[in-house]
Amino acid sequence: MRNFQTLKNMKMKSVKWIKPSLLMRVMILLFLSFGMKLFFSCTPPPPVDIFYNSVRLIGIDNSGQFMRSYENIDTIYSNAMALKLTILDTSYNYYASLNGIMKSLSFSTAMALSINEAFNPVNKVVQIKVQTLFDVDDDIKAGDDISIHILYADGYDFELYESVNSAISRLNGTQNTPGGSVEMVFKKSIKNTKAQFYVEITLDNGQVLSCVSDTFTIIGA
Amino acid sequence: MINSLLILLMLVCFGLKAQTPKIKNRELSFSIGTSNHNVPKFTSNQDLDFLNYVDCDPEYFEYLIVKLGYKFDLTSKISADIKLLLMDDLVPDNYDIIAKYHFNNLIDFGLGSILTKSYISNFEEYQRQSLPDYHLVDDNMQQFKCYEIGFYLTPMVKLIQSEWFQATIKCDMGMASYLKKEVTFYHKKRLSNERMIYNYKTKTTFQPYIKPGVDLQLQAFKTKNTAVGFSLISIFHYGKKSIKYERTIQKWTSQNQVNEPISPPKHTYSKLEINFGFYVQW
Repeated sequence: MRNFQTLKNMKMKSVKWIKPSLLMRVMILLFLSFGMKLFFSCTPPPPVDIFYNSVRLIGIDNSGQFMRSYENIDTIYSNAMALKLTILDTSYNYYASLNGIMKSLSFSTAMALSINEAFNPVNKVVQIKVQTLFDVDDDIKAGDDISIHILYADGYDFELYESVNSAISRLNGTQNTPGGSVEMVFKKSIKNTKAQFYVEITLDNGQVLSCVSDTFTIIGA
Repeated sequence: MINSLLILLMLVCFGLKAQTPKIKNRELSFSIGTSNHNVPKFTSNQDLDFLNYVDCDPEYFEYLIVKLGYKFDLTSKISADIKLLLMDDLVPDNYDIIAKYHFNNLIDFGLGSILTKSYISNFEEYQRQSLPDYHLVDDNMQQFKCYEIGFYLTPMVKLIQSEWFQATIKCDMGMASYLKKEVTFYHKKRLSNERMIYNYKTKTTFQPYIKPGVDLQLQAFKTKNTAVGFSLISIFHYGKKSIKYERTIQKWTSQNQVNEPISPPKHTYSKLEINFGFYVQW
């Protein structure tokens, strides 16, 4: 019986709770809350909704081994007429700049560098129509719809060209910038010394976006 | 002439009968050797002929071959001989396996399978030369590591089989085929938007070959249960080969494609191989 009492006393002595100070408790609370914020901040953010409202059309060099879709040119070989069509949400820039100001009022979100923002176009593209503003050859005159002679490409691979439907799918998919772009190539040879194109994009809300390219000087016509 | 040959054959047979039966039934062997391939090239080709680009130089013995062998008896009449073949890269990805049936002391009959490796390189040159108006998008050298699988029957005649020296001649007769390979070339026309893809898919086509050879074994010394000796193997491989394939050409879009089966002309293929090594029997 005496041995049992001794053992009980020893156990009571060994369990000794440390009561944290107020400062310590605040620090623990802050540590836990920031830890949780860090954990959840590292998950990919949900795609941001964008609304296409602008179209740009530039000439690109596709005469060499690789398509140079990052350079704007105004002189193009007659068999290598290529354009880059960019459709974008210009209002996102205001949101982004405002978002930066709002962030500075609070703790900025911790985010891993490898996580890119994703953008989801709300209004989908349903049609891309291309017209020539100069005569192309004896059969295709100024004002003609040349959409059937246009093929599409992804400027960063060597695969074969795609149809307009693939290009529309790409523009309607999730983007990594507040806009999408496709490269357009003209299958026919241009027999004129000048070329200019008009592009019309119809969205599923009935909105029509359009633009006119620069006037290109054609070599080897 | 025929009579003298018969007399010679009888003498050999009597000589074999007079010898004591071989008691060793397991053998490990190691040999190192070299081989010389020769595949004559055809100069004018309408279509790509992969065998024009086999890595071979008739002037030199270019391949190093290491053989690791294990021979053992399955029954009193049947034995197996497994050889693992290592090329210059020392990867044991080639083999020669044979099961032998011993008819008598003079003749064996074998059924085997062989897998060998060879390299076909620089065939992208054909694309460059045949399409001068087009860029070849991938400028890198192309190479196939080609495995050829064969199945063969082989009669073997044990010419001399004394305790110290054995000489065997054999002639493998079989069918062999290269295993399937695939390669794609991306082309872009100069000063034009046109893009084009050439896709080649080779087919499995078994073609006949013969492989006569001589196998010599000289015993160096022996203990109570073990014998150690040297071996010399010489093989000559001869056959007519071609690599048939399916060619797909796509222009502008993947929907616009043309498929064609291509059968290039047959090349005379010859290979001389010499190996020297040692064996341990127990």
